[in-house]
Amino acid sequence: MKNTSDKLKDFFQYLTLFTGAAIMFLPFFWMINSSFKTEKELLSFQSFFPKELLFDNFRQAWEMGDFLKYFGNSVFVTVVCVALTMFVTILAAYGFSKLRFPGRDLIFTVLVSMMMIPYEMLMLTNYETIRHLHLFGKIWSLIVPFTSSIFYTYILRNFFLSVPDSLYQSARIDGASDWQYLWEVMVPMAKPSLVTIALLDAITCWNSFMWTMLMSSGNRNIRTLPFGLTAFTSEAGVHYNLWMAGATIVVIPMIILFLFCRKSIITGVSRGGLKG
Amino acid sequence: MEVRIEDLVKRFGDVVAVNHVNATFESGKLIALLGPSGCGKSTMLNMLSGILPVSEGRIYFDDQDVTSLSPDKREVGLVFQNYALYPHMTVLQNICFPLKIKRIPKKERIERAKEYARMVHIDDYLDRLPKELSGGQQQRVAIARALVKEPKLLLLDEPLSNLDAKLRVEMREEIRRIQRESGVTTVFVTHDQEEATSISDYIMLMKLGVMQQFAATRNLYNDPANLFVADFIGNPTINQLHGIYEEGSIRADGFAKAIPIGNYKIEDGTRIVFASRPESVLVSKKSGETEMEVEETYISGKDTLCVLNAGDGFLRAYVDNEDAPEEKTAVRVSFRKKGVFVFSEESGERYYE
Amino acid sequence: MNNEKKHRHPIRYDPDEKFEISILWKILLFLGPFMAGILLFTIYPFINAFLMSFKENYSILRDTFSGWGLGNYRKVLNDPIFVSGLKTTVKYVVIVVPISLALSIVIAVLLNNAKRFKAILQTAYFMPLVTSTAAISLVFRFIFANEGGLVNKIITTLGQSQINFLGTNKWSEIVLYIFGIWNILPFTIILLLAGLQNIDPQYYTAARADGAKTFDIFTNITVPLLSPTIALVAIVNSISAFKIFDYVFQLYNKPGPGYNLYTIIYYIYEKFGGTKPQYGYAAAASIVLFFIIAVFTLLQRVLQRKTDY
Repeated sequence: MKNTSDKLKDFFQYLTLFTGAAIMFLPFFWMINSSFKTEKELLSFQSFFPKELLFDNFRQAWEMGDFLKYFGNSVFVTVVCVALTMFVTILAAYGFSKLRFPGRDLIFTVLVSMMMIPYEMLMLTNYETIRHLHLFGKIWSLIVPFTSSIFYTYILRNFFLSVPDSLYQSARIDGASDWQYLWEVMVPMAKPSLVTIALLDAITCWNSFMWTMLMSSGNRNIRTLPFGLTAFTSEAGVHYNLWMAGATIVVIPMIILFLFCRKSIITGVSRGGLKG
Repeated sequence: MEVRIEDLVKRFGDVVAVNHVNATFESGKLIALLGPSGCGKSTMLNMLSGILPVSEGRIYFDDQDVTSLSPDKREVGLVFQNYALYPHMTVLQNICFPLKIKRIPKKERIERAKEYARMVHIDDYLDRLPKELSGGQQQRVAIARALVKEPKLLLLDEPLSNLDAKLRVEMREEIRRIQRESGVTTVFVTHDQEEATSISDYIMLMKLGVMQQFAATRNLYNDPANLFVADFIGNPTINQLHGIYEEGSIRADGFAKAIPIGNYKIEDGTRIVFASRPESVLVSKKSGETEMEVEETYISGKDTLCVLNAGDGFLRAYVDNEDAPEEKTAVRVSFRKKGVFVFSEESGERYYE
Repeated sequence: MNNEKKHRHPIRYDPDEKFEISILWKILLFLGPFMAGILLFTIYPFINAFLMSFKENYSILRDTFSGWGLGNYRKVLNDPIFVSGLKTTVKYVVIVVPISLALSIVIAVLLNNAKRFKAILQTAYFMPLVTSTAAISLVFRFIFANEGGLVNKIITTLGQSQINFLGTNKWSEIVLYIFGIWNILPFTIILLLAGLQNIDPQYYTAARADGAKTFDIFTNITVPLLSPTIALVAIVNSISAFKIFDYVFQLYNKPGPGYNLYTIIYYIYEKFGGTKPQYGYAAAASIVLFFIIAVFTLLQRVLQRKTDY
């Protein structure tokens, strides 16, 4: 049985939590709320909620801002980047955990220590490299530099290392090659880790900003949503109703992803990935 | 298929895990590799499977030299101590896996897998995942998976050590049955002499990489090659008296009288170990060459176990409950011909009559 | 992170194992794609940045330089713009990291206790993890705007005079801090929650049996036992805060209304992408940043090793 002081404690606990949650959620709410208002409604504060659900802002932003193209680019870059990264990561994690060759663990330790290099330090040279590869201004320039991730390989390798070697030997005796063993046994077993990695990578790809800005300076047709949105705001001028509609377009796919995969994303983040 | 091992050696750095072993495993038999931990039995098994490369010597399957063949080309089935079932596959998928790798058509694959599932009595659980099975059931799946590709040689690495006592007895009989039914030459590794003696046709007993004896299971008990074998095989363990050999008797340490043991080809004055199976020690109130004192008695079932004082050592013997002597009384002791052995104390080698 | 089990599987080599040519093919097959990417886009640029920072009067267009030396470093470290950038960055770290930590500890502890509404609370607190800061920065600009801004509307309704949040040095800084804290909060809370879940509940039971009150438990048990995690999160957050740039850029499209939010990375970008590129300076500045981060990373490694019991 709970006594009064416990109930009071509970009440204040949830009050604090919900107040905090409201503040954290406010920008999302205000963004979506405002995206349905007319500019007049919005500036005059006549009512808190929009008088009617107005999709006009979305239509206008969509048409003015070339969002269709940005959206397509974002989907393309995200899908291709995640697929390639997963492929490369799976192979590398296997190589660094199950292949036997001298220096394997030392090389990996060195790679792990390179995770601390700030990306800004590499950007200068990578920019030039992309030019030399004749990728500048091409959409592949947004994908190619990011398919090898030490961090994801590190996560997956840890999982692979935890799989007992007897499974490998058993598969070998059954006639499986390394390649077959990887795809028939290891990959299906690693599904939870792979989902986590794919989600983290998808979020990172979708939201990528600086590099995209740099790469698309030569060709506006390869802009993805986040930088496309920024570019749109400076081209369209200050029309908050349109800004909010644009921001909603950019954010909604990831929010949907989050609502469906909340647990996996949180697990992934708690391992130190993303925005860290 | 017959397996022939010639002068097999395995070194790990300075450690010799398997030391010049020679043996031939008869086709269709069940062979136990037995010995305490670290004796090289698992190393031997892994060399047979091809997981471990050999340092020296050769391995033949029938007339084919397989020494440098990789595991996938040896046509062996291996059951691991932890079963190594693929956790994300159902029982049926696990059993099918070797056939899938061999690209056998799906329909045939499933048919054959089901056939072996029936043989190991796991056919009611085909859609379960390994984690939904008991240890014994997982064991059965592992055996079916090893057998389904119809290997020439079945290898079992400590197959029963992860099971509880009751299941262990049940499963070892099952292994025996399955081996008989499939007729495949089978080698299994164990550290449990009872397990080995109860189901195998032949036992290879090893110690520190050296083969101590390789013989039909019955012979290992009745005709041990050395003291280690005599001591390792048999439960309760064999009686051992240390002493000096003298004209057909042993002067056991700390025991006043000479105990007649028969004539052996030993020089007088040699230190020996006189070993006798408990069932070969005859205790009687009247007849018998030597008098000993009964130290303690324990009733175990229909027999009474008598512990006889023999100087620094003891002798254990079984007596019918009705004939059981009182504690602290004197009895007369003699020995059967069978189950009595004499070994060199220094080398453990056996002396013969 | 620190909760991750360490797997140590040293590979023992069997001298009898033949190092076959086929293993080389396997290494190439499995590690080739990955190593190609790492070599080209991580290792090479890393080394190149080092080399570039020591090249005097480097011109990337002609790929010429007048000699090796410390000239770039001398220039950068004596450049008042860089020094003020460093100050601005450090100030951001010193303000945002402790505040976000303090808030996160409270929220994490409360969330850890909360039995109900878990899904809805998690959704609200953790949604910023997945959303583009470029998009949300627009929302912040709108909320703090003069015309139609929510905050100014509240202020004026309360009878105060309107504040020019985005146009003045003082207030633009505060908006940046709020945006920074809002962004880093979810990550921080999640790591602290993971740390909290590692605390053996029997400590709480024991303390409660000893008659400890909620607040006593928080200060005497939760915080001390959580302190390794807190320290780690502080370091990880400091590292990411040192790289502050995109929030500024996205909020103001420039280094703040009065060039007041000019950070180290802003300096690197300007020297690199501005109208008058000076790659040598950019490289030297990036290596200064690298060393700052390296020190924090080493600190993190030491802490992680110490707390791994």
